[in-house]
Amino acid sequence: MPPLKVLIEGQVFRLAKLGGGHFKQGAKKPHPAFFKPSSDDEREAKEKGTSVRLTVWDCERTSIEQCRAIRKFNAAIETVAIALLVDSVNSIGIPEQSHSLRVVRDPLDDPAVAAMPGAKGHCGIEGLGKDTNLCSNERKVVRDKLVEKAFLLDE
Amino acid sequence: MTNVANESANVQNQLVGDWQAYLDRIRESSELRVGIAEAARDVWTELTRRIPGLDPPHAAPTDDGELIMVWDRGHNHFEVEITARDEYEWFYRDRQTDTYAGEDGRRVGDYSEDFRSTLVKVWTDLVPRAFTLSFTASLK
Repeated sequence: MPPLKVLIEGQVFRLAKLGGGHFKQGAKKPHPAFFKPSSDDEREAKEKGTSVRLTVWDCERTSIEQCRAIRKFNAAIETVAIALLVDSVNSIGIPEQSHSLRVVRDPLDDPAVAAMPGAKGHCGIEGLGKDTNLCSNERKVVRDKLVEKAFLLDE
Repeated sequence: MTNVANESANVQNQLVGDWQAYLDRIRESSELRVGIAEAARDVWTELTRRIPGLDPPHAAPTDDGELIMVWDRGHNHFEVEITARDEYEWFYRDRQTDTYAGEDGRRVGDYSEDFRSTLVKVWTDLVPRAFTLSFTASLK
């Protein structure tokens, strides 16, 4: 397994489909469901032996358009990019549990996808899943803090 | 003043109508697990029984087919997550003080005193929208 690379600065983003409920037209913040890892994320982490990761993309390495192409979001699927500053993500946690979020590089497994322009920007936010030592309420606190820090990225 | 009150009631009725239509629509949607929309309606009925005039939530499905309903007002964040056809979780956070509360694994139809009192507190902590509209109009 390659060494884990943790980001300490920069900006990451994640695409939200408009009309899917995760981001309302005219809103300033995404819905908490936008930051909830899925059971697929949990299963994949178990298989790979990593922490549960919520996909985000490094703005330095991936453009919004490249991300749309990788995710196969064509023009018919309206999406917006929701951004987070890496240091603001790193500042989120539950100090009583010595828990904090972090952003790590997460190389894509599929060679065809990994070869696409912008694919090298694939990252994951760790610390949101059920594999942490947090109780359910604490996981929701962390998620809500992410919502507070998130902002709509101008295109 | 009466006109403003009527306008406020109309807006509220429209919002509730849109919310009911949303619940009807997602009942057949593959985005949600079976029974989730009905459970959401049950919880909504209980909430409005407690707080008449409550605004409909901002609701969105999770990738796993659950439904999270959110009410954000000022520094108050309240959410109810329908996790199964007969189960829900609720969570409250005061974003100013970073204090929070919540319960998991509750049966739909079984609403604890903590759940009720937290929601009532959140709502009565804030100025009702009808009053805000009336007040704003009186300033013009």
